[in-house]
Parts: sequence; C-alpha cells; structure tokens
Amino acid sequence: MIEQNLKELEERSIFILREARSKFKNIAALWSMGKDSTTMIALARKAFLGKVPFPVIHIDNGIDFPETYKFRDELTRKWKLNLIVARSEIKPEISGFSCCGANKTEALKRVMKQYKFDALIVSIRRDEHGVRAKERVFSPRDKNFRWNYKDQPAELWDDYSSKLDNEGHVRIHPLLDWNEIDIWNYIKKEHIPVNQLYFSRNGFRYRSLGCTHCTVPLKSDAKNVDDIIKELKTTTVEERSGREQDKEKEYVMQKLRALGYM
Amino acid sequence: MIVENVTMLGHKDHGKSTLIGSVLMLTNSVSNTRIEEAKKYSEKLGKPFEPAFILDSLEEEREGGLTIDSTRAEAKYKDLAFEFIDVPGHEELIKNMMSGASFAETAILLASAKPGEGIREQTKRHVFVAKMLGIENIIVAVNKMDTVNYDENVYNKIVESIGKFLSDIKFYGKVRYVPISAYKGENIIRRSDNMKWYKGVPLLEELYRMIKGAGKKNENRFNKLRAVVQGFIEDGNEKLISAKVLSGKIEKGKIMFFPGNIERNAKKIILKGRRVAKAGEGSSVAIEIDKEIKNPRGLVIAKKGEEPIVANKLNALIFATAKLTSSSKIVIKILGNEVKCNKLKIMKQIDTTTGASSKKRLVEALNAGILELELESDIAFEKYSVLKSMGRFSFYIENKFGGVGIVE
Amino acid sequence: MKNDKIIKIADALQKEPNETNWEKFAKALKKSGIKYYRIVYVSLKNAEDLTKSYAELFDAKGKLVTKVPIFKRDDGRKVEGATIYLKGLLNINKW
Repeated sequence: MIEQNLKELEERSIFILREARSKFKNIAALWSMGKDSTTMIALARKAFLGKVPFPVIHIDNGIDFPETYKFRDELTRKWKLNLIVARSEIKPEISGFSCCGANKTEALKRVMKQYKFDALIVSIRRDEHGVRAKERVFSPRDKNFRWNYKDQPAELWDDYSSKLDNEGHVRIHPLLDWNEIDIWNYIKKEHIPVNQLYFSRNGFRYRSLGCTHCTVPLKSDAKNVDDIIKELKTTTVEERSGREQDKEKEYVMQKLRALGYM
Repeated sequence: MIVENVTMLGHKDHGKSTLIGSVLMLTNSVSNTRIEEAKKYSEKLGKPFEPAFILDSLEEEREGGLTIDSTRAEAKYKDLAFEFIDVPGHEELIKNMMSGASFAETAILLASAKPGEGIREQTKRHVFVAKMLGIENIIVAVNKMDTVNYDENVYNKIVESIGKFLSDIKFYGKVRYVPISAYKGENIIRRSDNMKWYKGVPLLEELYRMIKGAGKKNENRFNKLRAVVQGFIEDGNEKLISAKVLSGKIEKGKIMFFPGNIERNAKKIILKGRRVAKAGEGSSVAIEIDKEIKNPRGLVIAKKGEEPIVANKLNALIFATAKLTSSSKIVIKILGNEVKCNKLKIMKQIDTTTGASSKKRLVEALNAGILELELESDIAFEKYSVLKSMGRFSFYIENKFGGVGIVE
Repeated sequence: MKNDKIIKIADALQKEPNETNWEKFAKALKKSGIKYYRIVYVSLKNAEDLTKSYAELFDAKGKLVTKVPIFKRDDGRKVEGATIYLKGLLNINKW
C-alpha cells in the first residue's frame, strides 16, 4: 500500500470541506463511527476552527456494535457534535443485504428530505472496493438518489459541480484520494480517537466496521495504531474481506449505489 | 512516498486497460483477491482472462469491453509510486477524459502497431487537450507489437508519424518512444527478446527516468501573493475569511482584495487551527480582517502594488466539447466565480487533429479556438503561463459543460 | 450473588423486551459483573428474525452469566434492534 504525503492530503481535504460549506446552503455528513468518517470529522474541526458546523448523521439499524454506540455518544459529547440518528428498518431485500442494504437508503432519503440537506459529505476512499473507485470528489445525485455514472460532470482542477436539480443533492467525498494507510498515519499523527473494535483482544480485531450482523473479525494481534500501521504494510488481505456483503457480486453493490446506498 | 500521476491517453481499443492491468500485475501492485475476482468474472463471460479485467470493475464495462470513466490504479516501481489515470477514449466521453488528464504532468500515449489501428483522430485530440492542460512529458508506447511480428519498420513508421503530429501541435515537452506488447507483458518491466533491435529501456524504466529527470522543475516561479477567497468561517460572533493560497505567502498586515481594490488589515491568520505569522502556497487559511466584506467568495487577495490582472476582457485558448459560435451564450467558471460572457469573438479555430488554424468564426466540437471574451463584470486573474491556477477556467453553454480554456 | 439482579432482569427481557425492561437492564448492567458479549444470529432476512437471535453475556473470567434478546418491541410497535443497551460491554465473537 502506498503512503502519501499527509500534509498535502490534509490541505486538499480541508479545501474541499470549506468549498462544500461555501457552495451549499445546508450540508450534513454521514458518520458511521468508523475510522474514515471519524477522520473526516477531525478534518472538519481543523477546517472550521475547532467546530463542526454541520450535523453528522448516523443511519442506525439498531444492531450496531455496543462499542460503536458508546464511541458515538462519547465523541458526540466530547466534540460537541450535532448528531442526528436516523433509524433504518431491517427489511427483506436482496439476499445478504438485509441489514446493510437498500433500507439504509430509505432512512437516508427521509432525513435528507426532512432537513432539506442539499449536500452530503461521505467519507469513501478510492482505494476501497472497486466500484467506489469511480466516484468523483463532488458527485451529484438526482432526486431518486440515482448516481448516473455514465454522465458525470467534469471535475476540473478545483472546479466542483453544483446541484443537479432542485430536489437532488450533491455528495462530497473529501477523502477520495486517501489510502487506508494514510488514514491510520493521520490518526496516529493527530491522536484521533478511534473505535476500540479496530484493536485486537485475544487474537481478533475488526479491520472494517459494519453492523454486528455482517461484520466478521480477522485474526490479528494489532493492539494499537502503530501495530495496525505495521500490519497494513505487510498484509495484502482486502480490507473488506471481513464484511460479508462484499462477497456478493460487485454488480449488486453497483446497483445499490445507483439506488443511493453508499 | 512520492506519488506521480500518469495519464493514459489513446484509443480504447489500443490496450490502455490491458496495459494498466499488466503493469499492476508485473509490479505486484494488485492483490490476489482482485486477480481472482477478475479471473472468475472473465470465466463467467466466456472470455479469456486478460489484465484489463482487473481494472474494469463496473458490470457494463466488463460486458461491453469499454472503460467508462476515469479510474486510478497505483503501482510501485523502485522508489516511486505511479498513479495511472486511465481515461476512456470514446469521443462523447471526452469531458471525462479532461478531468482525468488535469492532474498529471506526464502521460503515456498508447498507439497500436496493429494494421489498421495506429493512432486515431480522437487520440490526437486527446493529446492536444492534454498539452493544453499542462502535460509536459509524453512517453509514446507503441503497443500490440506481437500482432505485427515485432517488425521494426512498422514501429519506426508510427514513431515518425506521431513525431510529426506532436511538432504540428507545437508540443515542446519531452517525448520518448517504446515498443511494447501489453497483452504479453513485453518491454514493460523486462526487455523483450522479440525486439532485440530496440536499444532503449522498458516502459516503466523510461517512465521512471522521465519523471526523475523532470524533477528539477522550471524555477521560473511566480511568487507574488495570490490567494482566492472561498467564503466565511464562523468563530463565535466573528466571521473569518477562508482562503487558499495559490502562490507566495500571506502575512499579517495590509492586504488587498480584487476586483474592487478593497483594502483591509489581516489581523490574524489561522492555519489548521493554529495562529501563524504567515502561510505559503497550498495553505487553506482563515483570516481575521478589520472590517467585513459582504460577498468575498471568488475575490483574489494580493499585496498592494502587486496586483493581479483585473479586467472584464480576456483572450483565451479554448477546447470546446460542443460547437461554439459567436452567438453562443456562455458562462465561465474561474476561481469559484461564475461569470456570464456578454460578447464572444472567435479569432480562429484550431483543428486538434492537425494543429492547423483557420480564420473560421466558429469552433466545431472537439476542436480548439482562440477567443476574445467580454465578461459581464471584472474578474481578477493571471495569464496561464504566469500562474496556472489563476489562468484556467471551464465554461458552460446553456448550463451544459462546454469546455475548458486557458488565458493567454 | 452479584449477578442475581441482572439475571432476573434478563429473564424479564426474554419474556417482554420492551423499553422499560431494557432501561432497567442498562442500569443494572453497570453494577453487574458482566464484561463481555457475543451475539448469535440465527438468520436475518427481516426484522422479525431478530427475535430469533440473542446475545450471550459473560463475566470478566469468561463465564456465561445469562442471555438476552437483541431486539426491542413495545405494544403495537415494530421490532427494533436493541444492541445499544449493551453499551459498555466488549465483543468476543469468534473467540
């Protein structure tokens, strides 16, 4: 895995967050309490003088890890976050996706509509699962949350696109250029609090976090951030091999994306 | 680690995806899981596995054999990391290609040695745009040498014709040529036994040397303060200005905002949460000024006596993705500003496949032109040759993306 | 014994996993000796399936103390996930 220059990555992300804030009237961010979205919030604090001037949304299906709920509530208090919890239902959808699937999109749609958010910050990275590699820094969705991947507007230099239509919203991806190892290097550098599930106890840890149903731990002895960084430098196991949903065909994930699921 | 962006230019059928997939495999830059996934998929399609499947991860791409959007792939080679920006070759997707090309200074131009292929008109256009967007080094990879029996004469003919094209479009950067077979992995990392007549080094080595050699960049650097305002950041009851420094250094003291010659005193400069005395190029800062400015977004900050160009008229070299005439209603987007163009005069059209200019009063789609623009209001800018970040813009025709331009 | 109270509440939860019982549980959890949890999913095709799954609760020595459901249901309302009430405990799935 290639480690990049943290200072440059940080500058770019701060720039993107500030652009988003200046261009859109009503922005919010998705927060899964994972290492990426938590890093994004830490970057927002840097960009906005110690505050996070937009709400953070937790799409909660009710069966997240207890550690995740604890981390959420503690960090919300510590960083004075404006937390919105949107409950999603567990529904029968495409097999294997019953909890992390399209129903999360419904909850998200509801929240976007209720609060009239016109832009949503999502902390995906290009080096994650293949399909996500196609996203741009600012990626508009139309009113049915469809990601029209065939006709994306040009992202030229620092010129980002604006809203697609009155009902759609723009997705902002401030971490698109970061690699997994960059995130951990930054977490180490900035002492960013991290969900304890990432650290190993008794030989297992979680490399990537979903809910309790679809996330599976990996064998590992990495007990702290330094260990994790060391492990990343030597491992080749795909990050998400602990998340069952990625064992399904990639095209299903693509379709979910097109339907608005992140 | 230094990550170098490398743009892949060339027609879709000439093997770009295959080349990147091949590079990833040969440099051990792709996980076994990814390779297995790609192999399984090719089996399902009944197609023989080929390296391009590694990159094409969208369903439609795999079935249609077409790369739809910019895709990036990283490969390590010696002490560098290359990020290959694969861009589609299809004409109507050229706007995507432009965004892919815009972050790189080095490009690999893929040509095909296969009879009937060579380099296409569309490839030439891509090269033109790439040159416009700042590509300074080009490696021409003449691919599919395995289909022409590794014939040196075929190779030389292609080298000659591409060389002529590059000089026709006035490309004055570095150019190198390498014969390869992406499908067979020949001359990519290891010299090919089938092309002993080729006295150069393999592709990745050529790329490596070119990038290392270009390291000592032209130090004709513009170092006057130029910062562009993004907007406001609240700090309690106060509103600070958020800005990005494009060149030079911003310090406490008197600063000017343009257009408008607005003079203010920068009392405090905050960089990433800390107060600093000054901040340099690339910094995103928050500035406390002594008196508020109503709508600062898009204004340019400079020191008194070192003003940027402020005008509502400018000349530009543009590349149009749709037909442009002098009656087209365009809006330019530059430095966070959106400005309507009141008058548009087309001085000449440049054919992007030959570099030839004609005194036409329109610019056909996918061609370039020299324009005189009269905007509805003043903007602050610099010539592209002076400061790239302040001399380039995109333009829209009736809300649809219309092309890119650089200020001359 | 230290865990008598929580075991009683866990039993009540098995019968009536409503909000009132869950809140009692969360409160009692802090004073109990329970440290770890392991969630067992039977299948999860829809919300109703949650009623088949459960969480095993262990003490600091790893001994099983009791079991609780992982859903919440109040009169007339839908089944909802309830793992939030296990806040403070540590996961030992796959150990």
